[in-house]
Amino acid sequence: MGLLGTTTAEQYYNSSQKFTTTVAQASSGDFQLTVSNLPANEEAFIVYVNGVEVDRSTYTFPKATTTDTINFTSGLPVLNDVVLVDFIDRSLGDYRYINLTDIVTNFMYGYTGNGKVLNNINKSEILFQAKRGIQEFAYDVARIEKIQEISVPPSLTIPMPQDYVHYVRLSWVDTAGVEHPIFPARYTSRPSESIAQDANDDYLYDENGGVLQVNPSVTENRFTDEFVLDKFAGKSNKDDYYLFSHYIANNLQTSSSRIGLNPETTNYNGVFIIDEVNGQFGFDSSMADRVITLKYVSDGLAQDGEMRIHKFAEDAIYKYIYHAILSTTLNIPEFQIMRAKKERRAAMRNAKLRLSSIKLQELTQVMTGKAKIIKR
Amino acid sequence: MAININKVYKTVLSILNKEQRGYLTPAEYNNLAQQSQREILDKLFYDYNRFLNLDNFNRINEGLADIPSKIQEQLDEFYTYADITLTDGVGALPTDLYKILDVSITNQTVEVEKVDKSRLSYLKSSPLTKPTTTFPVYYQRAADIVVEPALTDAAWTLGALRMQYIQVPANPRWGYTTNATYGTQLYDTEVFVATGAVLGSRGTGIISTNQTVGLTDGTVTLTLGSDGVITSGSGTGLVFTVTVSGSTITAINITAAGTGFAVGDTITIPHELVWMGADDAVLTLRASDLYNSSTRGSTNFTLHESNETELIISILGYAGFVIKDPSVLQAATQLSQAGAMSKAQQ
Repeated sequence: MGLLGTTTAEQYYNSSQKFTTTVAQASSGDFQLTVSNLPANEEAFIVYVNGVEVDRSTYTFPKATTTDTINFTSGLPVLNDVVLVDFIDRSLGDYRYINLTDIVTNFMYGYTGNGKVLNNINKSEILFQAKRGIQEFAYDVARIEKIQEISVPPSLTIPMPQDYVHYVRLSWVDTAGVEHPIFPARYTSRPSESIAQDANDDYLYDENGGVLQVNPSVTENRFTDEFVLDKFAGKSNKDDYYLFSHYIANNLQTSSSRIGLNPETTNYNGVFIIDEVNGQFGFDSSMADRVITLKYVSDGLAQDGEMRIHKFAEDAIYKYIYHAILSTTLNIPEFQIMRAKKERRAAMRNAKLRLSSIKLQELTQVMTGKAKIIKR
Repeated sequence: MAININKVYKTVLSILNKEQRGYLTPAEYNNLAQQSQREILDKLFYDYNRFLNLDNFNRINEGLADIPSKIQEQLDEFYTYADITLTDGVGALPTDLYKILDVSITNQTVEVEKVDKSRLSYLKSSPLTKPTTTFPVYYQRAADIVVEPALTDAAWTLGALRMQYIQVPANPRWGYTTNATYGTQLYDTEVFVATGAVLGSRGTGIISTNQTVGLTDGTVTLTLGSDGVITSGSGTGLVFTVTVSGSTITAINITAAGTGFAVGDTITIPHELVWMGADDAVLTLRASDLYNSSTRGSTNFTLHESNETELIISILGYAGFVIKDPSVLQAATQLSQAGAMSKAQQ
């Protein structure tokens, strides 16, 4: 059987499986699903009989004795009734990936055992290294960026996503749906501890001897209340006589033309601050009520379904696990570890190249007519 | 293919009796046979490992020269499996367990990995290695295994566990009957069933309550548990024929040994079955009617046929102690060492 398994094209594209009730099915009430990726539970699909949705209480899934069968306990479909099992939120394109179970099983079979390069290795160790590999690959080799769309609340603070590891880019979205990048503000911060002090600047303590803190911090308050992006970005006022008399007006249309400005701060898109300790992002007051997109990377292990690797990186993850196990095992000759390291590095580089998705046609289109030096 | 117990006994006796060295009784032979079989079985594991090491150095050739696969075939004679039902994650080990090969979900798609108890707390607390239904683990105790996560989770719908293992071999037994005239011991080919009844004609001595009134001549086959035939004990599976001649039961012939019987158990044959009399007939099992308490019934060696020579030498070595003949012991030791040397010269 091919790797597509038992799922037919119709089942895949329609995300459903259809039955025309047979005599046996009408008698037993058993409808055996044949799709490769079985739904986890009854919540993962809706059943229709002759186009009418059936109440979930009339069937059980999985049936007690089999894992792939929907069993009608009441209101059994009769002969020739059309039973449609409509899968909910079924992700498409899974064929691109190899999941954690397959990675571990394939590695066990291909690399371990009598006469293989690794002998007498625990499966749990391979599982550990495979998960570590998925984490490492998620950061750069096979990076999948997640995107959250959020409206910035009046508090100018949003929590980091549940599976957040690091951000890739924050942007605000204009009315045309175009993203404008927001940059981190390096000139302010959100103190994780703001010490409360009395009029003599002595520290204040609670009854347990712990130091009292001010929340929100003064820095945060001042930044929220007093920070004016226009001033900081160097925006010129129309009545600034000196400026208009010394510079050509046209050049003032773009702030970057102003000599002596700091490019980092010359930006009208707003700024954000990362509060690492509290797991939050803060924004300047110009961002209030704006819709932003937060692109970030996770470690690939947050959800069971995420524990997978793109097939372009399949060989690389095997090489990664192999090297990781060799380098943590006693009495392995150094040359063997180095060889594994080189193989791993080459495979990872290869995977990264494949996954960078450089297409000649796209590159040509982007670079057409750009006979100039790319400075950035 | 198991090794025939009688063939080995004859060979051992013929070697021992040469020059009237001595005689090994069946009871002594059975004890030595058990000892030798266990010894060879245990040695097979070490041999297998040793030849795999040679294989890792490319010193093993394929086909008939593939010694590791030959030893694996010898071990395969002891292979078996058992389905283990778990209660709150705990399942009893098979009583005949010698060495576990593999534990998996019954459909053998999900392996349950054996883990070191001393590492269990690390394994369970690390988010990267914490046991899941996809990657379950177990650890072993004296008489059971504990599976993590426990199979009480509703998500586990794949059924019980299947354990593949090397079993403790059944004790070899040379069973016999004694010739009434000459007192010689004759090999009994019937298969020994520990708590079963001896097959064949049991004579009339087994009948404790016979009937003489209203019986119809003929033969009827009866099964314990059917047609009202009951026992006072816990035995099952017994099948026997009752022969009635001259208005009385003249013979009982057991055709299926059954299991679970003990001396003194009675088997009651309801009168409605065989005759028109008012009283039931009763059979009472004597010591001679059961394999356990008689000399009847034989069990072959579980060892592979190719281990026969090694087995005979091993038994001879022990027999040298029994008959107090150092020359036998010395010869057996030399033969054994020669065999080991030839293997070691691989």
